[in-house]
Amino acid sequence: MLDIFGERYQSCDGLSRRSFLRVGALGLGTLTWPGLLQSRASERSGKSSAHKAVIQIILSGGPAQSETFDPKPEAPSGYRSDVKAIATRLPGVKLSELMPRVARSLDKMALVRSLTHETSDHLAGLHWISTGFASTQQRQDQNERPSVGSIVARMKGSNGPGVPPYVAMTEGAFNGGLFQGGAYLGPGTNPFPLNGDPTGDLKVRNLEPPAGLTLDQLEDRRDLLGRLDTINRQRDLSGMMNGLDKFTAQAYEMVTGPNARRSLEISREDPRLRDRYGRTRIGQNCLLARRLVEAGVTFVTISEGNWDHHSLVEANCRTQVPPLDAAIATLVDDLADRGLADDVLVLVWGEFGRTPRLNGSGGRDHWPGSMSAVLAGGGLKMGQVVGATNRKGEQPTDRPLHPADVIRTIYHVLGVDPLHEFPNESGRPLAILNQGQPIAELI
Amino acid sequence: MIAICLAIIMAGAVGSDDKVFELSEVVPRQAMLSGSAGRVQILATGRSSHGILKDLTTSVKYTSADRSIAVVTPDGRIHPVSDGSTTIEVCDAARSERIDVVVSDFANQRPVHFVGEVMPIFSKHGCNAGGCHGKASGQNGFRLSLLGFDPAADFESLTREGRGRRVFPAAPEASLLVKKPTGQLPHGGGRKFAIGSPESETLIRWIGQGMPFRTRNEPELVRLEVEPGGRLIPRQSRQQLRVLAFYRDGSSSDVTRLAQFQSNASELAEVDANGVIQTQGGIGEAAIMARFGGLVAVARATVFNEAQRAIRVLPLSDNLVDSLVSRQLQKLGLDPSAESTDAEFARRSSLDICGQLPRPDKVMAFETDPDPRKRQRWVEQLLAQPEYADYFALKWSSLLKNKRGLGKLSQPGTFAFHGWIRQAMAENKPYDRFVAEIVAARGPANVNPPVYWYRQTSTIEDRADDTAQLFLGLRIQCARCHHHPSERWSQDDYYGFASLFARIGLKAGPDPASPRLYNLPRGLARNPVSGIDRQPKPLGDPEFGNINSMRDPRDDLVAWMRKPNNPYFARALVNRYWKHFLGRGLVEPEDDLRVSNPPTHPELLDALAEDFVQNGYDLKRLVRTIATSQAYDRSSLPNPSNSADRQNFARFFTRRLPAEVLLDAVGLVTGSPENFANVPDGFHAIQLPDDGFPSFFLDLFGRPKRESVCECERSSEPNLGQTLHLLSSDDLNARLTSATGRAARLTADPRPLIDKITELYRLAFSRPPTDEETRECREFLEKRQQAGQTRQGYEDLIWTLINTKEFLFNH
Repeated sequence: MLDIFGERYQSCDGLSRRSFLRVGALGLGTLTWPGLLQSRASERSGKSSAHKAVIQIILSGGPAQSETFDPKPEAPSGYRSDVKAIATRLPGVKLSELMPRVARSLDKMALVRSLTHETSDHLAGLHWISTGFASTQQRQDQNERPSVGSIVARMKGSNGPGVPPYVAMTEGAFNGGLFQGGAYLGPGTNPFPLNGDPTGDLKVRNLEPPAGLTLDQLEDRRDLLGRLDTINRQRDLSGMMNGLDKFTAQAYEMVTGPNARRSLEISREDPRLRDRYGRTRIGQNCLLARRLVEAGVTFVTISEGNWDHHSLVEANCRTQVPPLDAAIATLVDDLADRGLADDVLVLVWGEFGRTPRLNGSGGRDHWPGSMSAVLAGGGLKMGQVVGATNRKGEQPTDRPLHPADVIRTIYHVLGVDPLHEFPNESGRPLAILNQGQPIAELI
Repeated sequence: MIAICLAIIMAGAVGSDDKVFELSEVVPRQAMLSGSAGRVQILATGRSSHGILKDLTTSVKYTSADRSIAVVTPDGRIHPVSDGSTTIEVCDAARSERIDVVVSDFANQRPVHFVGEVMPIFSKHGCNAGGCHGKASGQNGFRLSLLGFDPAADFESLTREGRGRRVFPAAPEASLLVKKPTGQLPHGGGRKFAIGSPESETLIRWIGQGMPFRTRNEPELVRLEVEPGGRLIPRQSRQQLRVLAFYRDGSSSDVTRLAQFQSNASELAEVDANGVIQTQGGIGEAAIMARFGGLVAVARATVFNEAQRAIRVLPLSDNLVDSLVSRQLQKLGLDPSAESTDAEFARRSSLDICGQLPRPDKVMAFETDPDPRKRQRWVEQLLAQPEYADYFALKWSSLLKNKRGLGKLSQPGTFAFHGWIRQAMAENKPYDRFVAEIVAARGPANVNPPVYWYRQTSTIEDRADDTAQLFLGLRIQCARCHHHPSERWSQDDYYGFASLFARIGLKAGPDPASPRLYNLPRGLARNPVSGIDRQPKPLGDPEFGNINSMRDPRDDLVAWMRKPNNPYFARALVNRYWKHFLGRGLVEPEDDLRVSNPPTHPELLDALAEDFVQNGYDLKRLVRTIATSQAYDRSSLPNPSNSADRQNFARFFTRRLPAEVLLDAVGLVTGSPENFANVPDGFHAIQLPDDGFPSFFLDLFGRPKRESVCECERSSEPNLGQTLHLLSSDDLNARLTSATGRAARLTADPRPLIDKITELYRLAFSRPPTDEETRECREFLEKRQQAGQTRQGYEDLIWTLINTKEFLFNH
């Protein structure tokens, strides 16, 4: 078996014999082999998607579209926000006055204003945008379908060595960044969590070997582990032993390879650039995400909360939107400056919109009837607005779109075949996403 | 050679008999179809010469004597064509049966029944599901009661709301109720059924008739039945179900087409909207729920291994578990794995009973002990250790949410409550008393620590939910807001149960964190829909009279729990303990006892519960019974027959060590245990009284947050962070390199290498190394020695052992 795999490795890519032996010794093949073969195959067939990556920003809690991307200055009182609308780089398109920098760079982005779905429950909505599927709510804290990031991790792997394919930064997020796991794809496709404080000099716990422990010694240990960790994996029906093998291989690449650690050393960045992103959690997380995709991470999810503004939505947005504005605009500009605009897709959205009508506490409540998303880069057509909502912002008047359409667009960019099937726990083959269509205007 | 030939011959012989099925039964014998939308499902069953039954519904031939009266689809569904009577012939090659068919009211003169015909359409197509119009806020302004439990509200919403656009009696086809689901107008939920389908015809007719709510003589649904109620089905096979509704007036009708179906174990059997079970690759018991008109009926699909020829028969034993587990294995065709080795058993039982690795000297003595009943004695010894009380106090303290919710101030309370729990475990307090003292706790908490349990919840409803889930294995939260969708609990049941907790008063005691619990003079919980206060009543006991208002209703609750025939109390506990040891509950999840989620081994659950009650709710006796059963004693190594078994205990199910146990085990093997703040040195993680001991390790490896009474709060799911921690954390490195740690000691130890290697293996794995392993370790250590890195060699070896799956798992 291993010989066959070895030949395959040598014939189709540049992985060295040494690196193969290491991987093989730890039994990596069992769990990831289909994924590896698949990603190699798709790299051969589709050049365009070979090194594409996605940075997803989930504004958890559900941001108010009227105070951000879909201002309604003409709405009647009781609906209208005190936050004014301003002109943008795109003629005739207005944004909230709290987003002047996004407004200036809007030619590098596409706005989708006509998103809608059918649940006003936080968890169900988060499940929907995280997986593309409505939740049956039978599991309280786990997604029933794999998250988009987990699908990408399995289908594409990483773009570079020694970094995980899928990273999530969920600290401080409303609901703790739920539903980003692999479900029936197994724990091996769960995101690597980065929960440090990026506003200081981020140090990721356990990523640097302890003082006195050399990389050579780590390699020796790995070698010995390969020879002593021989318990028959068939004893374990849960798949956990195999999952741990995979994690061990990944952990080794991260600790002994330079790639992961260097990408996390955010202090290497020009302080002026760090300032432009903003010395806020969202700002520095966006900068970190850029470093990660440069190092080869394929999918980064940043969960940023708390956007559940049931009261005083305007005042809250006046505090929370400007850091977001700086972060998004700088990220998009920075990617463009580095020539990465076509390779990296940035997506910003929340689990639903908020009620067009203000409630008695000056807040807005849950509203899945209309919500907005921002997409930037990834080789998509930028500088446009897709869809529109009515005068009060209650519902789409044009091009109603679903979360599944946005996710199909992500899969289109990454070259993930949405009809590829994975078996669930019962062996039933389930398509990755058999709903929705890539958003035609963007392609 | 002879054996192989024999096997082939046997397979051939059995195969030929097993593959010929002759038609043996057809139901129904009479089919009454009323209205043009009436349908009747035929069930044709074949029998092999061995008496094995098989669904032939799609393979027999159907012939209608008069196709102008009724026709049959190839999958056995009778459709009416016009009024009259005829017969349908059902035949296979050998036999033929006849069904008498009567079609009446094909012109649909009879009024449509809103509850019996219209509402099932909403249920069947998911219109009233929680994700759509059934959620509290409705969908795009149109709201239905969740799963159709409130017909009056649905009727109101359809006929009076929506500015009358939903139904147009003058032009029924133009009603939104017809145009949306048939896709003639944009519908967020998509097209649900076609124009001209029985569904749309029924809706149109109902609207055309002026939307009757309840018609005169409309029969009341009293019972639901599903056929066949239980059947042995091979893997990768099909079985049609039919669902019958029985009414108060004695009539019945086939509602297969209108019912909803759901499987509780999709890895064993799935079911489609037509009531067709498709068995999968797994082996065991699946429950298929059929739901109609607010009632639930369950069919059991027992998926067996049709390829298995012979089952190893285990010796008879006096353990009540063994024969019941074996019987199921034989029924399913699962060959049990071999018996575990002494070393495996010693490690496994020590981890499960005492939460710690066994001492090597004890394991060696155990291995050489010739007594045939040494495993019983070993378990007995474990139960007598203080660690048994520690470990089960940890379990109960987590489940009882013993948490420092109020910060430092609440610490004396959590310590006192933990101490009380631990004492109960140590003295083996009868479980019924243990629970009674918690559920009916009163007085000052600092004197009577179980009162702290009531500090963790503040509402009547939360107390009712927690009590039901933790002590009765019932998840009743659904019934707070609507009838439980897959159980019989109504909102009245729920608030009756909640009223048992409605007279609890908490006053500040000596400090705000140590309250005094007293009885309020009155207090009831109110059903928010009906607006009626409910009298206190335990769940599902019609004979339970009104509670004397002079008493604390919790005393009556406790008395009800302790009745020997209480259907939940003892079963919930034995099921919880079964899972603790076997890795899977007889009911799974362990705290979700439900008609639609039946046990995989009902007789075993009953027998364990009965034994538990009859022997004074003796927890240690229960542990003894389970831990000395053959099921607990199996190797985790599968054989070809049971490699896919997930629910029948044909093999031991492995699991990762729980966070606290793992931390203690790492401490033991490295010789450098964790030092927790504010407790004496040598305090183990399994001894921690509450959640107030910050530990990155424990959180990373999934210790529960103690916010829920669900065992599922404890996570054993692996992640990369855990692996990184074991690979290169300062924490583990400090233990490995500690001057007082095991590596340092072994370096100074003059014994030969092989002894030291054996010591490490016996500590970590409870077994000696194999020759091959000894050789690998010795070569490694010698190489380090030659490089002048002797101590580093031991550090590396200990690191390696900790990172093996054999160490990390209970297997």
